[in-house]
Amino acid sequence: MRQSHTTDDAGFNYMENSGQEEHDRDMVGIILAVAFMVLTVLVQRAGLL
Amino acid sequence: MNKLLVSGAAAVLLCLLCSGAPAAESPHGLAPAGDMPFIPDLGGLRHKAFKNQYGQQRELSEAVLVRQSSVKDGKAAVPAGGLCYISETEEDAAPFRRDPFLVLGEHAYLVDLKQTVRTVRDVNLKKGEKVLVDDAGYRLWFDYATDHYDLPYIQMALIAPSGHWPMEFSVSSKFPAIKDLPDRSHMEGDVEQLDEFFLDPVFDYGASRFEVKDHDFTKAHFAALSYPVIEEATFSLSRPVVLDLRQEEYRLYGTKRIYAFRESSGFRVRVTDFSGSTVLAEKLVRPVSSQGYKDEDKEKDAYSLTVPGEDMRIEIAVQPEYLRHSDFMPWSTAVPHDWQDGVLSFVIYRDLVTVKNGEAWPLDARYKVGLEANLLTGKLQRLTLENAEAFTLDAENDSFDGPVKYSDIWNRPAFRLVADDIEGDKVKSYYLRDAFFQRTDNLAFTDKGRKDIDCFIGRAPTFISILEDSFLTRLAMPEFGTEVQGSHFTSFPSVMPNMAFHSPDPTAPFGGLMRGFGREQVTNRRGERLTSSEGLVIRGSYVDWKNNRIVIPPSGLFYTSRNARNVRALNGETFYMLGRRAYIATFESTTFTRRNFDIDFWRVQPDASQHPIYWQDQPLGVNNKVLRLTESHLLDDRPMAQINVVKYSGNNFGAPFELAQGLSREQGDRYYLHDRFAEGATWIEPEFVGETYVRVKSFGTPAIQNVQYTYEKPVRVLLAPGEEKAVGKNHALKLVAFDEAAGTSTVELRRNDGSLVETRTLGPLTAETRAFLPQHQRVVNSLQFQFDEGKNKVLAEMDVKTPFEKGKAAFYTYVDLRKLESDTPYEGDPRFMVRPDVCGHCYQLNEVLLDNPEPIILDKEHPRFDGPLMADGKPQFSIVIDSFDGEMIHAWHIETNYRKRVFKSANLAFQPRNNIDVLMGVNGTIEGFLRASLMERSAWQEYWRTGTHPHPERGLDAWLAHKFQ
Amino acid sequence: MNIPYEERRRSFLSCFYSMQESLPGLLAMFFIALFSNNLAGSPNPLTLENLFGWLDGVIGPVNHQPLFQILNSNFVWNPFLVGLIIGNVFGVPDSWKRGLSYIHKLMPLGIIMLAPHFIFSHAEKAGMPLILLAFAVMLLTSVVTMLLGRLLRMDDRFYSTVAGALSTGDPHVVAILMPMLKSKGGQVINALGSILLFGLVASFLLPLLGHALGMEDKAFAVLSVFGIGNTGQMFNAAFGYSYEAGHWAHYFESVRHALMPAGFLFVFFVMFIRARIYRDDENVMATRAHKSLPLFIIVFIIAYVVVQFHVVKEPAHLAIFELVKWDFSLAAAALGLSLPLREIAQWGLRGVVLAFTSGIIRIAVLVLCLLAAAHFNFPLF
Repeated sequence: MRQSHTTDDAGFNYMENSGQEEHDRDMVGIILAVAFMVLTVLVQRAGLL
Repeated sequence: MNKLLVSGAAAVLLCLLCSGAPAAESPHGLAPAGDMPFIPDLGGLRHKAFKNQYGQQRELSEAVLVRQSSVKDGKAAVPAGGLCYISETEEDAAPFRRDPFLVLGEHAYLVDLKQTVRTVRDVNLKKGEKVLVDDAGYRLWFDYATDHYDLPYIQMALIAPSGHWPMEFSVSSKFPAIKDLPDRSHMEGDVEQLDEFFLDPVFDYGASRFEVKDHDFTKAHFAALSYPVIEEATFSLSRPVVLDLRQEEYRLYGTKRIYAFRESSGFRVRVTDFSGSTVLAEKLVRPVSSQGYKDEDKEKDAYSLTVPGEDMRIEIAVQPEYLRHSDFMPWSTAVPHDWQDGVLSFVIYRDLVTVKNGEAWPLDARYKVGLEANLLTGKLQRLTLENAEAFTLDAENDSFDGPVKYSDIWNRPAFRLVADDIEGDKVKSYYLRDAFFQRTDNLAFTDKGRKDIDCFIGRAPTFISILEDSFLTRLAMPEFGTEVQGSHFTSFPSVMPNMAFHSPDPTAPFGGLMRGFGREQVTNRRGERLTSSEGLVIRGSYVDWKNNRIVIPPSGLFYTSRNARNVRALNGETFYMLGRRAYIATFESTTFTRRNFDIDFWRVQPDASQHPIYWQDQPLGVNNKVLRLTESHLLDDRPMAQINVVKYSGNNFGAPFELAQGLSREQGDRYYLHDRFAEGATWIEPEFVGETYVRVKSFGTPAIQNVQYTYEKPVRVLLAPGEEKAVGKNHALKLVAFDEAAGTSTVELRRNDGSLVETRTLGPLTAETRAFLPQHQRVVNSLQFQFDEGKNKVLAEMDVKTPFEKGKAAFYTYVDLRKLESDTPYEGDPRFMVRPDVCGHCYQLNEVLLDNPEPIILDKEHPRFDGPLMADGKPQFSIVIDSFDGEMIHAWHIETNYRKRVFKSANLAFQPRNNIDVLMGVNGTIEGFLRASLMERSAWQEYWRTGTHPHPERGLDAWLAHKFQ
Repeated sequence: MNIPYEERRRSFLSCFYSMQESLPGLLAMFFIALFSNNLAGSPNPLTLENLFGWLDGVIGPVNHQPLFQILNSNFVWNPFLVGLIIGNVFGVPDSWKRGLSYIHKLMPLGIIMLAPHFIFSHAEKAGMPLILLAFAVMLLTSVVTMLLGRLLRMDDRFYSTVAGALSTGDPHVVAILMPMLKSKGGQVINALGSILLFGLVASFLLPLLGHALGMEDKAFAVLSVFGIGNTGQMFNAAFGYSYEAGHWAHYFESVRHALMPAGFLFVFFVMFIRARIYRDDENVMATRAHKSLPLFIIVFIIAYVVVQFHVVKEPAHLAIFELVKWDFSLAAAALGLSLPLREIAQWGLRGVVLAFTSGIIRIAVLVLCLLAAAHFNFPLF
């Protein structure tokens, strides 16, 4: 069923998350999360927080 | 412990009784119920710092106070003046400075004041009384009386109608006055105890003057009380309009033209209508500059033009570029000097409101205006609005509107007091709603209800003075358990190499009374009852998260024992020594003197890790005291300095030195302060009082070297000549002869085995020498006979109360004397150093401190630290860390040994903490720390009650509130 | 025409799409977040959070607690609500949708960054007996909820979401479980609503039960923390009972926090293993879409273990948590926009039935344990 809130005219459903796309999105999330955390820890250890 | 609880309960009752005065009495200057609810934050009551035209910061706050109310038969009654709105500045507000002021929630500017000085003559009162001295509601409070050389001096305060008083002052008509202070600038280093004790009969405090004529310990007669009052104040409720001023030309202000014609001493300012044809007002206006005298009544008229009927007040001010068209002052400055880089501009104040002291509030005749002056500067410090008539709240009529406020939207009541559930003699629900319709929690707090509807809502500093009688009970016996404030965790703990002269973290939990820390009433030989109590303070501790440990720096942990006043020899006075009652035998003090040195103005500056740092303390000897220049004002451009003596414990000496040079009422100055100061045995004579530093010509204060004490109660012996009595197990005292007329006794002390014998004549005890008792050690020593050494040391002293009786001479004998020598390890536990503190008035022992000379480290392997060992070999207290993960302390407590049982405190990290600073027990030292942090502690009590997390106050913000203890 | 992702993919960064495609949606999320919460670095005072704060002041506290806190207003709920209203009133423009799809990056990002929030050493102070009891009750609740959910013939994604959120006592776990279990937005919000409703009712009724049983303040605090959870609501219950119970509730809350990851990971692994076992069963939907254990869960678990050694010190944790707030504010805005109301209603009232039944069983078990501990003088806390 096509849901107008989530699916555009081209058929892109933004709540749909699967396959390679899901994998890539997870990867981005993971990299950013780890990067943010590592950065924050380093910044704190360097005495900037 | 029962005794403690009973005395605590009695204190509560007393507070309640004191505050529940008859409804007929004016509530002015009186305290609300000691257990009244305090709500620090309600949106409509503001608390904020603004800057004036010169960039000086002004801390403003508003509050609503209900006092002397009562609930009976389903009705809550509030007497006239019982409901009071307070708008307060911690500094003051004066004309020509664009000083900000809050008026019922609106940011206003004070533009004009009418000031005068009120003098009231012949005021009589008794100890403990707060008597009304005028119709406005000012009261004089006789708080306390004590003595020196058996002559009384008294401690007083002038309470404003709101309940605020800036400081207690000591006066006496029995001693040499400050003007009699001799030149002591030749003294340097330690000199012997001086004879004179100074106390002035007049307390001069800037614009105020209080002169005692005569008094004893229980009553006083004041010849005159003079204090500044404000008759009229004008506020501008909008930001001023600033226009360029160009000579011989006009500027358009709305539909008006404002001309400026140059004259030799200013500008002739002419206001006309739009076309310039009708002159509305014209006057020579001198440009305002920063000199303080310009707001005097006879001067101020030259500096402004008020256009009748037009709601305009024009001043000409030097306006720097960045202030043009604005009153936004981007940075703070400390000095009110003029701007060098500005141009002369018109400053036009509008939306002007003039209020008169004692008259109706312009928008609401139900409220009466009160204007209170700063007792030092005579400028406006407080605006109060109080109900002119008494009112009652009941089921039919459950609310009473506050005064109508000026508003840009619509003028409406600034708040509303509601009592919507009164059952018989109890109110079960009442609250305050602000101008934004936000309400407080139910102020009854519990289902038990309350017998009054007293409360204090908001953060006006008057809160601190108004709770003087009851704050200790409020904090020590919290209704909702031992409060622990969670810490704000940072990467940078505040690390001090030594915590002497510093106060503990203001958020340190206060454990109050705890079994194991003694507190009791004791009676000396003269029948005087004194409270004796001991406690524990940890200060400057921190979590060293890089090394997973907790550090208490040197002097970060101290045991304190203190009486309600100094501990005096020859009177059989006792103090607590590690849980046991100790009897003082001797003391040895000197006068520490220093000359020709500078004290810089005390600055507290944060480093980048937001810890407040200061470095201007002037040490007085080693580990004795320090001097701090804590406040500086310009009184009509003459610098005035307040210097404090800070004790080793971090508390201030009771009397700050208020100094200013070259002021004289005779020469017409509005202000007067002494140009030197002496109280008791402490004096200071400045060479020069500057705005940012004071050069001291000569200064002296007592310092104590040692005291001797014993745990054994001194024994009174009566000896006839030749008669002999045992002194303890090993010694005997024999009266050789006495001369009652000369007041001397010759005695012999010897070891029982005969190996040592000494004879000495004690006295003379005559009217002449008695005049120096009980404080002067030269006389005290002449009446005491110390004998033998070490643990066998004994002492005999003449009974000064009844030295001779029925042909015999009377003595008190002390055995097993022990010594507390300043800056040496404590003999009962050498891990701790002895730091006795002296009474700055009188050379006597004031407090015994034992502190750690080395840092104390606590970690997972060493979670326990034992405090000083008592006589039975057990530690009086132990610090026990129960849960610590290397960065946060989640649980720790204090254990005490008391009567062979172990008692545990509550968890002192109930909310996670990054230090183990703590205050346990209740004595004067701990009280000082508590008073200094009263507002925040009380606010925290309220957050704790409801379990809310306040916005964390960090580093400097939290700390600055305690800058001046 | 939608070109399949695989065809336009050049690297894993292709999931960012082009700036032109994603900017409108990102801005929509950004502005919803900005006007919903007081976020670090944003000085905007006109937020829903502040509006609720003012309304709290006008209405006055309930059991000394702000009403909207009891109603669970927080950094997830506020932007979600704003998104939901905008989506349902105005619809969601097509141009936003690429940007809104960033929710799938924000969810793993936020979940992993939550790890420093769950530190076991913060809970140690409560003592092992209580921690073990809380742990046991948590697992029991999730098992009972899942079994009951099956009994009620509910969608397994739905009941497992309820199980995870109810057992951990934090309704926001529904959001954490969403990408783990692959639940539908409607299920997540229906579950959230059901649990909040249960918590709301329980938080007002529990004090009555406590008084009827004459429970000690401390015991009642334990009951509210582990019987209701959900911060605002458990404080409502505890402070409704007594001040002391309220203070103890604050104290014991750290235990619930520390155990929370164990709770939702347990539900996830149960469902994950179940989906591996019943590979061919069409009714087994939860976690089905995961071909293998998702990498972000592994990373989360590693981070969860690492932070136990205090690698992330407190100020760093606070900073990371501010990022988490930003992250979930953005994600919740996208989630709110995605849901027509009927999609939430579509899952019916069975969530409510499940939450109430399971919740009541949990409270009963806890009450029995607490009464037994009191009776046998067992030092539970």
